[in-house]
Amino acid sequence: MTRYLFGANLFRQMSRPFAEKSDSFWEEVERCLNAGNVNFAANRLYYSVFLSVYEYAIKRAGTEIFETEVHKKMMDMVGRIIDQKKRNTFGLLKDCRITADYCPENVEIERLKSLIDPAREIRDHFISLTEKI
Amino acid sequence: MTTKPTEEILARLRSKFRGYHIEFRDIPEEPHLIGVAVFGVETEFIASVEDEIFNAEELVTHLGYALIPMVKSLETTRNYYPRFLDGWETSQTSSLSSEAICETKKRKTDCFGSGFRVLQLSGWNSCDPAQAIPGSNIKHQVVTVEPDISQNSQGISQANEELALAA
Repeated sequence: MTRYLFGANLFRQMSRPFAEKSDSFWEEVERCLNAGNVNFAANRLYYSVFLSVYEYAIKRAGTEIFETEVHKKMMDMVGRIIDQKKRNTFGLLKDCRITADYCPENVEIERLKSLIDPAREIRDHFISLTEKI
Repeated sequence: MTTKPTEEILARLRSKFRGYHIEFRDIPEEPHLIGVAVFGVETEFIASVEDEIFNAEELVTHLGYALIPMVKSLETTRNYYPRFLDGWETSQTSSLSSEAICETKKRKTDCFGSGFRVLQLSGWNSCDPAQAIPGSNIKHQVVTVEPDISQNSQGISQANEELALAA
């Protein structure tokens, strides 16, 4: 079981506790694609979106309930907060991330590019929600 | 290891796109996510196969599971997982009789049920494949689907902890 260094109270005091990481990951996506490093781009794209959802989740509910199976919980949260289509997009981002990190083949660049706009929509949506908390 | 409810998913997917090799894969640290890998899918049909996998999720949501499509294009399968194409590609140049080769080269697209194009050997349903292709086990190579989680999770199950990457 994952244990976190900081509790929910600390996170709640910060307007966007994962802003720096999520934003920098997002910026890295384009840099990685321009450099031809599609696998790293896939990893950063997924985690940039993941952190934007996670940030909202822990601000709303604290870290404790997300100590296990956090990726599935974030996927489900995207479905509940936005819609099923975006939840599925999150699942496809996860697929690209797994392919990038664990499979012998490279992530297909056109496939990853096709996910960037819907990924941006998910990320922007959760950032906006978090900023309102 | 918890047994995952893969049989119903497999039956559903096989009814939608018969002939493709399908495997289930563990997702590290996420016991209620099931990776569904479908191999050898033509690029133009990848999105449709992904949609069908998401649709099949309704079979397991009441058990708390979710599906992650892991659809591999024909090119990726040919380059990295060629064994999953043995039935309709590599064997046609090796052990088949000339008559069978002709039949195999007629590899055609066909439509089943929901309109999916599936890969199939010509004449497959109309004759006994053991007679059409003497001595060949091509039937099993083409249509067998292996939901062997323990075998296919090798590698993935040894992966780095995801949350550490996210933190």
